[in-house]
Amino acid sequence: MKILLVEGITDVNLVRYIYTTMSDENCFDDFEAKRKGKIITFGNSRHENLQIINLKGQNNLEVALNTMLKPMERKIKTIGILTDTDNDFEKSKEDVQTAIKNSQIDKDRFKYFLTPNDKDLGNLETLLLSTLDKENIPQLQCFDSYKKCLVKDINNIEQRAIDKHEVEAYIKFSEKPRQRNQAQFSFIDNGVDTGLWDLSKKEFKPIISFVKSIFTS
Amino acid sequence: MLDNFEINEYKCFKDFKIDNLSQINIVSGKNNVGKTAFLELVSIIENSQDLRLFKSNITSIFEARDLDIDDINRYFENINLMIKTFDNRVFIEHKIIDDLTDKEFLKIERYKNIIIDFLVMYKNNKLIEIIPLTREGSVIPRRIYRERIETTFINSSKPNNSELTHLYSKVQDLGLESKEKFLEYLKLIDNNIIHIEPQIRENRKSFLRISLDNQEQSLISSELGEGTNRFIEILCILLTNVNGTVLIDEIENGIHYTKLYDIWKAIIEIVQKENIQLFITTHDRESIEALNRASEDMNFDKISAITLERDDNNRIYPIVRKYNSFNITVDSGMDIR
Repeated sequence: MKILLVEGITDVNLVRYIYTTMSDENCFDDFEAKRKGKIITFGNSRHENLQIINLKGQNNLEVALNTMLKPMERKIKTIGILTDTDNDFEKSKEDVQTAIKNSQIDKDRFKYFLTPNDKDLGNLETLLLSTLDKENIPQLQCFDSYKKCLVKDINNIEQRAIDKHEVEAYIKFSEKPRQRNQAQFSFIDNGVDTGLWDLSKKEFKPIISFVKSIFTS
Repeated sequence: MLDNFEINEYKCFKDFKIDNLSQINIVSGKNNVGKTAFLELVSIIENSQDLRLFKSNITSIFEARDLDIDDINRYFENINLMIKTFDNRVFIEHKIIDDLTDKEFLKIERYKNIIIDFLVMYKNNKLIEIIPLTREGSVIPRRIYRERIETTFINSSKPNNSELTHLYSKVQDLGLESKEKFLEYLKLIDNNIIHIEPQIRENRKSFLRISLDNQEQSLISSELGEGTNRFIEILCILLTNVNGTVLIDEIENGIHYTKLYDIWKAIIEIVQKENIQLFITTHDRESIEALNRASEDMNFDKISAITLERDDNNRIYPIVRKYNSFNITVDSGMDIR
């Protein structure tokens, strides 16, 4: 069994998008609405050896490792962890390593990746924005002015919040009108590739390589 | 209550070890992984206090599997069983008379010219018992031992009328309060049931007569659905096995998924009150999810979920999830079967 633990639903859907594009198969079902857990699993009975676990926040990593995965350790070949770097790469890396150590699961089964690219600061939205040709996207040119205005007049705005907002602006005002402008719906919407993200861009290469290393190991 | 055990070999189980058992243990796994054999294992362990009980229990298990006397004899002739629980190590083996030690021989001297085969039991390296292993057709008249088997096994098939009547009569023996409580639980599966009564036909065949609120005539138990019959059987056995161990194979058989939550709540209530340890097998995701919801709502956390798996060498091993792990994993949607 190969399991990838991710921070949130946008990560889940990006990973699904990458895997579906790689393999032409949709292995991860859509039944989150039926589930009530603080942690949610995506997988299906036809491909029971591949699962994505939505931690719904970095804080649930240890819970997932200790309570969900430790009992079934023998059955698991690979555990991937995908989490954001945010503002401190070394701290985020250390947090992951500590969670792995505390789980007492054989550390050789683990691989991890810190978005956006396993070396710079930021998060998933940072990665998504880095793949866009902003100069040729009108809504992002406008957003740039808006961003400068916000930062000038409002204190303590989190970079993460601005990045999320910027991604939503890109989606909302893209060529095709969209009902849902959240990033989580921007990859595959109602079974159709939205065409909003180009996985061939070099900025996606590190994360694609990581996802491949988990699910095709 | 059994918390852990280890066994060297039984059917598909080789060097099998398990711990973290609880009051309710729900066992799942793929077809033919050994779920029913696991229940048999528990039964063997619980009935290994003495050799006659052990032998009687094994015979019952083999008969339930529709195996015949030759299979039973062959099992005993080849037995080399080690069971470890808590701090006790029990060892049972077959020996022929020539291989007995002096100490062992002293215990069976009266059989020396009559019987060749014996079952020998050691506990913590101390000789406990030796009994002759007689076969069908042997010249030694068989004594019938009324051993009380310590576990009750409910298999996956629908019980017949006389089995149910016999079981229900034990509930009746407990008194009016138990009968009323029984009816209250039974209504969980069909709210229309208003009365239940054992009867005997002229041909001396017994059955349960069930009166329903919405029917002009009452029904015989075999006329009701499989789920109702199974639930009657489960209730009877749970209510009459105080301080015992109950084993149920494929609990969900015949039971509509909408009833599972209420049935689990009833089971939790009964096992707590009657101090029963329960081992149940299931294939059914809805049954597992219903148990999860019922246990949360009743604040009951004495549950272990056991998934039997086979490793690369085809050996069975258990994945055991205690309550917290079971709850979080099932809530997440991960399939633990």
